[in-house]
Amino acid sequence: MSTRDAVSDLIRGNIDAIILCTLSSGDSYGYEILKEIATASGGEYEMKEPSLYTSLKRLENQGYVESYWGDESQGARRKYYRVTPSGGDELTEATKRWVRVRNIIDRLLKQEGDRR
Amino acid sequence: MNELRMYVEHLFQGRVLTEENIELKEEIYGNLVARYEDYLAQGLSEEEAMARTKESVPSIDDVLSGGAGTDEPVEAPTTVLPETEPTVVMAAPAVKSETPRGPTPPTSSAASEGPQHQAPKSRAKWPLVLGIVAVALIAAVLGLFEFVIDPMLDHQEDVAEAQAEQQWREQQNQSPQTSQGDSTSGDAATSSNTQSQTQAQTPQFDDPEDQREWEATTALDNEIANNSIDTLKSYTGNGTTKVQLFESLPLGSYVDSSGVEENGDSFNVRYSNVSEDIDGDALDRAIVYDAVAALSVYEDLNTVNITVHEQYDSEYETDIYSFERTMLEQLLSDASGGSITQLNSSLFESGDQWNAVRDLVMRENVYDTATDRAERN
Repeated sequence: MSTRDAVSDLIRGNIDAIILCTLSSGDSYGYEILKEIATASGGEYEMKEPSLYTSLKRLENQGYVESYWGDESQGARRKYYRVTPSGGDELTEATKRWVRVRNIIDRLLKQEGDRR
Repeated sequence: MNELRMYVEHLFQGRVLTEENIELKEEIYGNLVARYEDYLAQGLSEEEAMARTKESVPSIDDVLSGGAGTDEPVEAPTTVLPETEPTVVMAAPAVKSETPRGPTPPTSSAASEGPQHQAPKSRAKWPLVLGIVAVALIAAVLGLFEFVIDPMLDHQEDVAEAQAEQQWREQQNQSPQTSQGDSTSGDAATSSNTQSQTQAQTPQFDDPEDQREWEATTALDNEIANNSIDTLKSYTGNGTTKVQLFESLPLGSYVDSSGVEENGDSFNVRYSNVSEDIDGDALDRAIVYDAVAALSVYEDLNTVNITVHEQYDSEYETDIYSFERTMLEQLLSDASGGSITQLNSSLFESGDQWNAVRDLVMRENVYDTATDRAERN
């Protein structure tokens, strides 16, 4: 259990970028975003729903995403999110940062890593 | 779907209804429904689907308190506010917030320390200020609760309890004198009036916990008051053990035989799973009374070691007291102005004599000092 928490902790540092990335392939809403992340991670990472709401709120406050209500004719309304242009820029930057950090850490932990 | 609606209402119970909250409610509801339907589509039963759906959002505490818009968009989503959350949780139960997940800060910030220079600084300040103001406000509220309101409530409780005890004692004092109407003085009339007044005035607390505490504490004090000299006399004979004496003394029902030991001139007794409804002072009164009684009955005994383990306590939280004969005799001698200097069976030769000893032990400065001196941890 504790190993899994440590993994979650490490991933959590990049969670906003992960969400932006998910949304960059198409607008989506809460539950769908979670499903997409679970699938894309090959089942290795499942984000908790409350954390998602926190991240989305943060992203929206920062202007990286925008939300709008879907027009479901039946049942419950869903809140959709789309990436804004500045969100797109942020995603690019964040991804670069991650790659850079990943390489630094690999080096420091003496992991060969990818030589690109 | 109704059940999920209700669940969302429950999640937001007690929350202020801001526009933001209302939208969030709607959003959460929508996502829960989507999840529920997805589970059903995967073949789960309705019950299982509903249970898992609810589990996915056990609380919105983290959602509402976290994410106040930090300046570090991707790395370290541990925002300013969550750092205060652990303090809030530990300080008072009045503020309901949960620490999102234990070991958050170090790992994620370690992963992100390098390339932080890009964080736009101008946006950093005002969430920080907000955070500080929030902390100050929370501290003020907690301070208010802990140092003003709680003491006030405690005092009110103490006053109510003291009044109740007072009335109870008057009742105890008067009951031996009540006779069936033959009395020539006005005593009978007065005492029966007092009795009926007392009975009508048993305090009723609003809070059931207070009620339980009052009842448990009063019950223990009654045990002390009703402990009779006949009981004590019966143990000075042979054929009885010290454990049996303790079992017939106040708190006797909690005697834990696994913690009983006799070592030369000292005796160890342990009370386990003592009800936590009993007031601490009453507990002190009881153990001091028990030590005094035991030392009086067993004249060769010099030390009574008492371990008190309260319900739900861990072993580290047990209280250990060591009552020495010389300490108690000194204390009682001082308190009685020299009239009681030794603990022995002569003290319970008469009911009045023992009542005098009992009254001494019930005095706050006596039992307080005795327990202070006896405390070993």
